[in-house]
Amino acid sequence: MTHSRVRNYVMTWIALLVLLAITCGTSFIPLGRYNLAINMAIAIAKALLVIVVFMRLFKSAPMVLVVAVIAALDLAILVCLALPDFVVRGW
Amino acid sequence: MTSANATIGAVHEATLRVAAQFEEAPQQVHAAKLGMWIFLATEVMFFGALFFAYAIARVQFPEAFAAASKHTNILLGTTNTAVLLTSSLFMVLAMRAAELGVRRATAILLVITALLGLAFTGIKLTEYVLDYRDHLVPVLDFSFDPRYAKGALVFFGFYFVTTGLHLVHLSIGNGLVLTFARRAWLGKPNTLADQVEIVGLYWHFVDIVWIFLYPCLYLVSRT
Repeated sequence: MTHSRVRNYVMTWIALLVLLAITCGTSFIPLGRYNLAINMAIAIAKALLVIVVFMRLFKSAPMVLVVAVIAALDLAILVCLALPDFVVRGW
Repeated sequence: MTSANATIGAVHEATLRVAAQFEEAPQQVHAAKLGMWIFLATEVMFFGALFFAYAIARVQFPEAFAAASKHTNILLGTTNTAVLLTSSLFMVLAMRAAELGVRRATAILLVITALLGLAFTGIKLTEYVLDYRDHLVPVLDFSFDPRYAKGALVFFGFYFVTTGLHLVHLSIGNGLVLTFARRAWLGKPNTLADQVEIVGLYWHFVDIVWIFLYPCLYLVSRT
């Protein structure tokens, strides 16, 4: 039990470093807008690995999950409210 | 495993001082963890606003951001990312050791975490010195290809504000980690596992902020 948990943590760490290598490596290959897409997808994947495995999101109390989801939604709402302002002004 | 947890739990209940507003120890522990998550939610808003502003500026100055990003030190930046990810591994191992009640191991793992945090700080400060040498510090000494100067100034403004704020967070984390390493070594509290977990949540969050800063600052355009 203990060993499998520690192994999970180490595997997650290796996955994080592999993702880092991919995001760094692909950024030297000219892929146009896909560079940005890859970088963002990998950043989100790394963040999720840290939140789920290292911060044990789903092993925490249900209220913690509520707080985490609300934080993400709040940020999305604020971005959606603020973004049209910049788009409409035509800067 | 289950019995070990039960024993730790029993020690907990017997010795944990419960504040007046709580019915019992587990409720207090739950409140403490939830409190840290709520704090981190406010930090998401804090850093979220910066990332949003960055995105707006990047859309306005796409070429300048690409040109400016080439002047960041990708070798040191990538190394630092790896250092920080590794520190998070040691942090989570310390959390596990604290849960199992292995105090000395907890202390040592926390010290390694803090040393990696200090290594990150050292590398970051070295980078700042190199940036200064390359005339990339807004206000103090900034000169850039005139075609991109305006946007590059904005980019390096973001670079110093975001990495600076991140470094402040990391330094606070370092102080916390060393404080609890000392407590674990001295064997002071019986609530060690919960305290280390709460510090760990903060540490991992600071790691996540860097995970997003890294591509935004170092990888805008490398081709």
